[in-house]
Amino acid sequence: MNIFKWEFKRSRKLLLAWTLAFVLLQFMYSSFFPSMASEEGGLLLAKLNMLPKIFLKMFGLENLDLTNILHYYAMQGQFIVILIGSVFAAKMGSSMIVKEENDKTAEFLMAKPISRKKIITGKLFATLVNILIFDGIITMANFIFFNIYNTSDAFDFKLFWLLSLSPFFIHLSVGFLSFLVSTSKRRLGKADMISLGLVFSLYTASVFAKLTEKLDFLRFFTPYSYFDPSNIVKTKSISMIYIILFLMELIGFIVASYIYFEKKDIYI
Amino acid sequence: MKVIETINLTKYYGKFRGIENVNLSVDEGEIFGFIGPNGAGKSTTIRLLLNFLYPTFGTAKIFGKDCFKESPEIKKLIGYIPGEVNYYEDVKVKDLLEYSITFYEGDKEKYRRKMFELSKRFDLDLNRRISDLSLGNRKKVAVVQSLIHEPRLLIYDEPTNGLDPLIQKELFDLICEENKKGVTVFFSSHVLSEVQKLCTKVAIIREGKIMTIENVEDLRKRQYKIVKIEGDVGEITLSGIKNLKTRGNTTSFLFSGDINELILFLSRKKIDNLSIEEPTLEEIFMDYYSKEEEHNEHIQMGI
Repeated sequence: MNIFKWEFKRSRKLLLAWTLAFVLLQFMYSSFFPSMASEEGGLLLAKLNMLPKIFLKMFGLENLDLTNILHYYAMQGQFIVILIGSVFAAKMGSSMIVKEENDKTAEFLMAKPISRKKIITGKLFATLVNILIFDGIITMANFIFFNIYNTSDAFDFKLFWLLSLSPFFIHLSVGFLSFLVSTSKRRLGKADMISLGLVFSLYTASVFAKLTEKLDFLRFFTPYSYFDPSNIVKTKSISMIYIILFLMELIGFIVASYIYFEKKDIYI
Repeated sequence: MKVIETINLTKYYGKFRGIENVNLSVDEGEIFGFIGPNGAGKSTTIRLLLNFLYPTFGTAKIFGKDCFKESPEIKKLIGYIPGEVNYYEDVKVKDLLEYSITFYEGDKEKYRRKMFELSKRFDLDLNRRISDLSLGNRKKVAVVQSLIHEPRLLIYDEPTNGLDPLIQKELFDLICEENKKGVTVFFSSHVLSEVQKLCTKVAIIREGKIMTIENVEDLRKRQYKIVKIEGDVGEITLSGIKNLKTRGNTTSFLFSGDINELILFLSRKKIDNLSIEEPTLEEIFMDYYSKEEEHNEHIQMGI
């Protein structure tokens, strides 16, 4: 518990800065919505639909009725909240363990009467809570902004929650994967680089899975496909198989982090 | 019960040697010196004892508990000062020490009192940020941090590095006080004079191997004295004389023979001044090294 408190306290500035930035971004994008739903917006949409289908797929625009605020969010949110938010989650996870070795503070921490398992538990918990707060506050802000700027009376609550869970689940996947990277590396720069590389590779894989039939199988390997907003809008659900895959991967990252760190030589 | 006991403790970093077959045995209440040049394997040994590292093979026990299986239990009883002090830079000294206290069971208020008491003694400002501290002040934080929870074993890796002589003396006093209370001290250093001052027993490590473990007193007694004589002594006809030098009126040599013969010899001479000094451990050490090297050279030359 003390490690969790310590980590949480030390990361709160970063958490605050990122969360605030995203709330402002969401405010900005939401305030654009009324003009999107207006007549001129309609013209733009008509033009958009004339674009090649592959183009729409690539940018996750298919199935979307951009005059619906939630569809509009599914479009912009996948780049802003999901993808750039992944950078936050990855950075949070990737620094968690390796920073102790990188800054040589491991020599302080590891000399304390605490097992390596408990170190991992405290830090995993800190990662989880940071991501939870980050996505939680964005969701609350979205809820408020969407209700202010919604031009129609209808608001699909179920879809709202699904579209809000999507970034949270993706950030958890990416955050815990980066956490695993963090336990296996000795230098912060390297862990950061690998984690961000993984984020963009996984995202790219999800785009390829959408674009080409042949690469369709890739969708089973990346959380960006599991919780793809344009897909959620289309089916109004998240497929059970994806949820199971997501949970299995999450558990896999956690267990691997424990196992790897337990036997690791800590060089200072 | 042995406080520290290692058997054939060995660590390789890939192909590189860390330490090889280190056998140490430290008794309760000892101040045990661990001496060797930089890179000899002192820190590697300590990091194995604290389970930062896992051994390639061999075993290590502290207070009878396995260092690699029961490390958290062992660490309750250990106070550690690392060779290089690195702490969370963005926090205050007080926050760091309070964080340290949260790891230990027992009376936290007592630990906090100890924190204030020790900080006062070492003139350490608790409200400063770690990043603003000089090397000496960081070392002070390490000293305070290592003693707050009243450990039974102190593992100090070159603790005097960066401390000014006054603080160094304060630290030595403190170590002696703790030792009087029954605390065992494992003290690594490459400065021999401090080990000489402080330790009862010393292990010498070099290139990853323990060369010898001896009582500091024995080590010194077995060895030679440095004799300086002013006055006309003529030819010296004693056995056990080395490095004989005469400069003007002064004669000096290293003497390893019977001290009674030396006195008998000198009693027949008319001398102006005489000094017989113990060699420093440093000098003994150099002598030990050079013998070892001569020996090795002989082997290489096939003698």
